[in-house]
Amino acid sequence: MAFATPFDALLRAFLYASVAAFALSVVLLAAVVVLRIRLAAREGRAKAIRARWRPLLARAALGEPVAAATVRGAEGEILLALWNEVRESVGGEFEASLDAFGRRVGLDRIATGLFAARGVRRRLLAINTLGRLGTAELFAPIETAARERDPVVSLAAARALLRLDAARALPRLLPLMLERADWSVARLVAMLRTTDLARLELVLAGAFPAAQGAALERLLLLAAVLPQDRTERWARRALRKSGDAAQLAAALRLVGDPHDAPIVRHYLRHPSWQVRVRAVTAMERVAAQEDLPRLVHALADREWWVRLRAARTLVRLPFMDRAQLARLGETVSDRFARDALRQAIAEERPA
Amino acid sequence: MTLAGTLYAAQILFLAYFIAINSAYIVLSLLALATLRRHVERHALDRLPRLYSGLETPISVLVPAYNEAQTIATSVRSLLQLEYPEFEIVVINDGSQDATLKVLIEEFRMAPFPEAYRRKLACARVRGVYRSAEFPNLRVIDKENGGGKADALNAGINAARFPLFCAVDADSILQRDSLWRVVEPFYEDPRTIASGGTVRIANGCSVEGGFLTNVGLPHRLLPLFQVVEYMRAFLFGRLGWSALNSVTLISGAFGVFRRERVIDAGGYRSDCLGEDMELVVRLHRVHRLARRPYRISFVPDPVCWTEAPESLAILGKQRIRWQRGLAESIFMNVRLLFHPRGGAPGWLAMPFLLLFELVSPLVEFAGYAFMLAGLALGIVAPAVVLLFFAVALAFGLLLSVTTLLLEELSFHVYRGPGRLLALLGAALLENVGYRQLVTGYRLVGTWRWLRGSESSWSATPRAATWQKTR
Repeated sequence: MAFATPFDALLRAFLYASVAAFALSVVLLAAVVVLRIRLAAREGRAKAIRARWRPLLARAALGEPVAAATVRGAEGEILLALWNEVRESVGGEFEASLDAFGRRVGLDRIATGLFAARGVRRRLLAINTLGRLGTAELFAPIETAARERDPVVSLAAARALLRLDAARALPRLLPLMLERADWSVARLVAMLRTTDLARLELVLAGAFPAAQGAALERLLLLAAVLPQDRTERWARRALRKSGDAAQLAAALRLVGDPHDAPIVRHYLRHPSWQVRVRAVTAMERVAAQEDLPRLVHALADREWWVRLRAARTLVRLPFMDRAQLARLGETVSDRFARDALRQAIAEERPA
Repeated sequence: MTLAGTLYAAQILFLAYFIAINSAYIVLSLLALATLRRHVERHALDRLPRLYSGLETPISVLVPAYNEAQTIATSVRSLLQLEYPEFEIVVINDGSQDATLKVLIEEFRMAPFPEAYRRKLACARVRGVYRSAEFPNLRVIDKENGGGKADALNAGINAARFPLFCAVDADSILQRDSLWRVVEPFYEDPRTIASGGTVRIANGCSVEGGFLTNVGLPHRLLPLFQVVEYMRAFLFGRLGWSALNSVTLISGAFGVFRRERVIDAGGYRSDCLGEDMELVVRLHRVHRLARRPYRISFVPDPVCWTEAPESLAILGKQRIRWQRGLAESIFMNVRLLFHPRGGAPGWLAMPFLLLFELVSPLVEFAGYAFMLAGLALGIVAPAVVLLFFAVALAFGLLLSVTTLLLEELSFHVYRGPGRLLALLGAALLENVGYRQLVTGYRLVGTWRWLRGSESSWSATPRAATWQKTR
């Protein structure tokens, strides 16, 4: 192509750029087709492997004798995924036989090999398997994984450690659990629920004296795993010593003993509405008849959430019957308080 | 400068702009590629059952409904089946003129409920609140029409009881685990204030009970082009920006937000056609300027399916509205642009939106017009015109094919060789005609925004063909 302008060189560059873009498009198109062909082949293999192993796993889970099957080279990763799916889906009674079957066919060895691999996907699969089938010597490398920056890998490793040896793992993991904001408390609580609660209580108790700031808040939230009567002493201490709203709100979640009513009453007047809302909620567990005026007062709180929670608490109090609630609704002069009470009655005690 | 010099400069400018815009998209696609690979790798254990703790953050699902009598019952039934430990559904009947409210009352045994409704955000008058006798987590806010979806959503946020809210279009088709997937960033990073997921085209798919049962492709070209277009917009448009914490749009069809942060920012703006985009850009602006840590995330998983327009008239209306929404979002938050504290959103995303999204239809149209007129008048060499179209086509093709590659490396939702061929064909063909058509609609949108035409609630009319497949 010939250009009869002073910008020939630039135009030529544009021409080359578009030719390069076309060429690259063709290469990428070919790549898409190749990837699709490879995907189809991979899925076909996976389907066959799953079809071969699923009945064996089902029989193994039921404790039926299964002839020693050999894992062929390409089967390892898919079988590992399948074993994990089955293992996590079935109830407790089948777990031991599935673990035994896994060890017999060498899934622990396959997982150990994958654990050293580079890809995150393989490592996650390996970590999850080793949590079930691993041995004590794998504890240290998995603990190293639990200290990695990636929250997905590290959390999976923490879970595996708890399964592998909770007694050893708990004291080592707790500092991480308190420190790492990218480890969601909800997920940690789900993990901790499966551990020995007596041991967990000991470890949490050991951490309380030194915990401060966000760590103390997380510790109080994690303590929700334990029965309320085991955690109230920590809540009391936090409520007496802490001035931090988030810590106070977390501590108020743990209060359940009527003897703690005086301290909960104190927080009904806290400047932070997040604390007040937790305090009126805790009143549901600790309030006595004499607290009615306080809760009625909270019905007119400047924050909507406190008003609604106060109303719900009033409605849920065992000594409040429908007639009393109706009378209360008539006597409350504040419009917002009346609205909150009407809503709570409609929610909790529909006619 | 002589006339000839000006002409040459104009030719170079148009070509350079085309190359710059497409290069920017290619950089985005590379960012998306890295993020996508990481995402897919990290979700290896997704097939395992989830553990519940009871401490999961509950979510209020807000469903604005305006004249949705035809589909609302199926939509709500599917929402009720979402997998998540604790959520409520709040349908906001925005003064519908059809039987939307009646259908809801009858289908779900709704009864008037004495809600202590609080008005944190301004919205039109709420006429009443209903609660289902069958599903205690289902409420309907019946309000006067506030002139737009933003007003309905604000009413829903006022009624929301949980810390996170999920804005969902009444005709969105979700997957059972959609909430789990989109809420994931909130668990992984406590700074997260908003999160969205990939929206795909439902035309050609099979839907039962409000859930997608079989992924298919539309037979008609217009929606098929939109399949590729949506893939491009979500897979590398948003995913690329997500890597820089600069996502500027979480689709109104499905997105999760931290309620208090949205209230602090003032909620949805009723005077804006692109209320979903404007809110996200404003969240960036408010948080950046206040130096408040935050993260706006995007998960690439396909979590929501929506019906694409099958007629040019409806497509045109939709794109004009989107373009106006884009312009409003930029100029209502123009302080973020090159603000010293603007970070990547202010220094990269906003200039990109302005230069390559808002201005591009104008430049593209002017480019086509200039080249064709120049050719007719004999002042532009045929070779330059050819080169201009070659550049447009080559880079357009490259972007479309890159999208398909990203899809192939991640979710490969569209199975079977026939579907792959159809997608490849659409990726090639959309560059000849369809993209230029959309450019035209966007140009009209920019023009109408400049003229300041009235904004109004005008949801895209749906054929709801998926509903008929039940």
